[in-house]
Amino acid sequence: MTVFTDKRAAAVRDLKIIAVYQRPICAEVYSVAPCTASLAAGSECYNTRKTCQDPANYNLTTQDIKFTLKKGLPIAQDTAAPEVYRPYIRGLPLETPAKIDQRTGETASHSFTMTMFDEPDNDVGLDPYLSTRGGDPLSQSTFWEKELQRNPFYVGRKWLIKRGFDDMLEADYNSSAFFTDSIKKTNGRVEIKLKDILDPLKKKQLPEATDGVTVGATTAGAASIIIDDETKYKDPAVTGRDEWVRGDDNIIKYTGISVQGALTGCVWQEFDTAQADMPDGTLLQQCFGAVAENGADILHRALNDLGIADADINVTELEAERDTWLQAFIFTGIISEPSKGLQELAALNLNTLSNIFWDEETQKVRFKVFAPPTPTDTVMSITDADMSAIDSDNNEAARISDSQTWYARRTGISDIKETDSFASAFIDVDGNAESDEQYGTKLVNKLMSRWITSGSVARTLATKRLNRFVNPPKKIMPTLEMKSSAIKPGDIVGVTSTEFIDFEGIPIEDKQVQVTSRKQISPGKYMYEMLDAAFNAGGVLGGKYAFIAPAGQADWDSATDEEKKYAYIGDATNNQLGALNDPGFYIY
Amino acid sequence: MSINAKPLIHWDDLYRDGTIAASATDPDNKYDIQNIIDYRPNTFWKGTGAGTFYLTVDTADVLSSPDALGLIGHNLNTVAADVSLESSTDNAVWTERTAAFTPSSDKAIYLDINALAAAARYWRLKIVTAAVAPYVGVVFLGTQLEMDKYPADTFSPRPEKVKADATVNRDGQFIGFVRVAETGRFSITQPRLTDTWVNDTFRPVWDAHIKLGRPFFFVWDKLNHPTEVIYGWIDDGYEFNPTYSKSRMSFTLQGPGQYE
Repeated sequence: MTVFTDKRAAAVRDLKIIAVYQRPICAEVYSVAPCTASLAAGSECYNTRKTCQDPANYNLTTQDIKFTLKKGLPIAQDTAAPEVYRPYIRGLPLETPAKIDQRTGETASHSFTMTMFDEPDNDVGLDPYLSTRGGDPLSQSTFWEKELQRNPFYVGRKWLIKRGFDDMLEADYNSSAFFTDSIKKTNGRVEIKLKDILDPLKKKQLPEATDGVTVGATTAGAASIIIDDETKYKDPAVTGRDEWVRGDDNIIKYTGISVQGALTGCVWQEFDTAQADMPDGTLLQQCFGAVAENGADILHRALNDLGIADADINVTELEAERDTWLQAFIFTGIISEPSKGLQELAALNLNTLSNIFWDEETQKVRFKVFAPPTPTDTVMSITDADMSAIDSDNNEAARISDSQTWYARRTGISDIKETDSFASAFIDVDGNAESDEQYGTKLVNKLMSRWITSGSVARTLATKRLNRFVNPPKKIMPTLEMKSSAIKPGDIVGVTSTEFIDFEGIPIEDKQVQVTSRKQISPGKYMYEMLDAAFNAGGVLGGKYAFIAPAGQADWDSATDEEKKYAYIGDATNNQLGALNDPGFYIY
Repeated sequence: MSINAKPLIHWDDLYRDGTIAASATDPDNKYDIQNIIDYRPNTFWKGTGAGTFYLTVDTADVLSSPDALGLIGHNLNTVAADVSLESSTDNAVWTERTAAFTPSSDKAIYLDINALAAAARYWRLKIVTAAVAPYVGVVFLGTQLEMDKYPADTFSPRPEKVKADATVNRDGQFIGFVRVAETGRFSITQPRLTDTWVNDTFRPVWDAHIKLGRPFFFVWDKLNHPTEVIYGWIDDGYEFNPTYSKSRMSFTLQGPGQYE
């Protein structure tokens, strides 16, 4: 627990907000080497690129400018080093929504607008040469008018939205990172649109379009290909793996790049493509490919290629999820034409039963596989007593009855939207669900995978999707107080509520649900969406699931609650456990 | 309620009108001396460490005679500072005008120095600390306006408004409470005023300061409640509307304020 989480869990607290703008400035001092600018005192730059008088020696760094609510509670100060908080923010910026969608694998990105009053400002801390200029900066325009004039390169600059409570010092606040999208002035107020780190992915492609071409005619099967500009291609010496390009219908692997402008170590007919000569000027597109690589690692690389650095990814969690749940998910495939980045990430999520999402509190992109909690996971519990409101939806729109995984793509250039492009499919149909006795309709759900080559993985995916959605998982939408807001999308939570009852009408204790969205709707309230996951109580998946108990553990009847987090083998005839005939476990 | 003084509005500030300087300032450029005249309690001048500091104003060739000192946004109690006010006619020989005192808290300070009746071109706030650097957000040194009437019987000295979000569950049981803002207010009604007082005494202060949105120190009873100091300003849309009734005028001055 941290000071932040302790206070967030308290019953009564003061919520405080600090917005930190990491303003771009120059690290040098006017007229001091290497800065060669030399105008008279009073005519110095403002340490910004726009006002720079020696651009060759401009040395980019950032300066934190801190804002707080105009009508908010005062921020506790460190007496030895008080911070300057400009009280310009109008209205509390609520936490941005976070959402995952297991049916589509889609990743939601978010933006929000923070509004500020545009106040007069005395330039203290902004203009390092304030004392030489004269005039009265407080009466000369406003903070944002001056800032936008002197320092207009704000797009993409980082903001930290910090939240804290009571008498916490800023160092203990929780930070969320966002990036400037636009700044505009409306009715005298400044509207700053901020976006999260995933938002730019909407406009990115995987792989990025390449405009390099061949130079001279290239004979099919040639070991090297002359290109116009070697800097346009990934260098295997840098990436640490073989790379591929596509020219016409050729997919060609290369293992090196020569500085003279050639792809070297070329191998043709990759991914079951044919080979053909390429004339001079053939467009060579960089590909994104993998051979016998874990799906989680491919997704990790895709994030990197789309511009998300490891510093912004919870790599530890990604690798732990991979090692726990995805060891068999070894993929081979290629994207040989520029494709929408978010769409390819969603496809990789579907291929790995996972979701990625931006966790603004940890400031990391997280990766979670839909799977039962492990014995060491902490499963938070909530009850009706924690909810100020709850709505529910039987979620009929999510139902499927026929789950198909199409795999073993015939070639690396075949259209993945066409079933003809695949050599194999695994189809799992629930005939009972389609019968008139039950739902009476057939609902087909197809996964067309460019990555899967293994029949067992295809079967696993088809079966798990069918099990999850053949009886649509009930969706509940509870509104929880801030104390419960540590619950995040992707988490498995135990819910005891009249929304989940047994046939006698009694609430099921700690019915497990998967959190799919969270949205702050007021300073103290969060609205959630949660889907019945039912790993533990005979829900849509038909049983309860856990890791197999280690040898030497007590028998079921005498096991502790901690020991009962593990799976025990049930009676051979009815899969029941112990003298009380408790429901048995199933293999996930 | 026992009230022994009429309400005061301390609005005038020599520091804003003259040339200011600090004897020493923390090298972090966010602590510039200009911060004490920007009306914002949360932007500070800060000293370089423990020691003796002077915040000086040169009023040019005007001999000024301030009658109130106001401070807000400071740590002068926490750092056990000795604070005093000095004046000089030549910026060389200084005379102590108030005995050194240590504020009883880090809250807003109002000090009535009307009795000094001293005029000088140079004034300085002297701050002495033994261990930790002092900081100050806003300094007002100047003229105050005494209102013409005592507060009425219904006067509320410290109304406060809390903006918060309380959550209860569906059984009506308390779950949690998140407070996001606390706004103080002041409201003083002045009835049965002469138009001379309104137009010759109050209106100049209104025109030069209050209506421009500039904050001021409001002290509703400097004798019996001298620590109840409000750093106030007018609301957006406040209407100053002195109204006649039987040859006398009345108005109510009100707005948000910062209590500490």
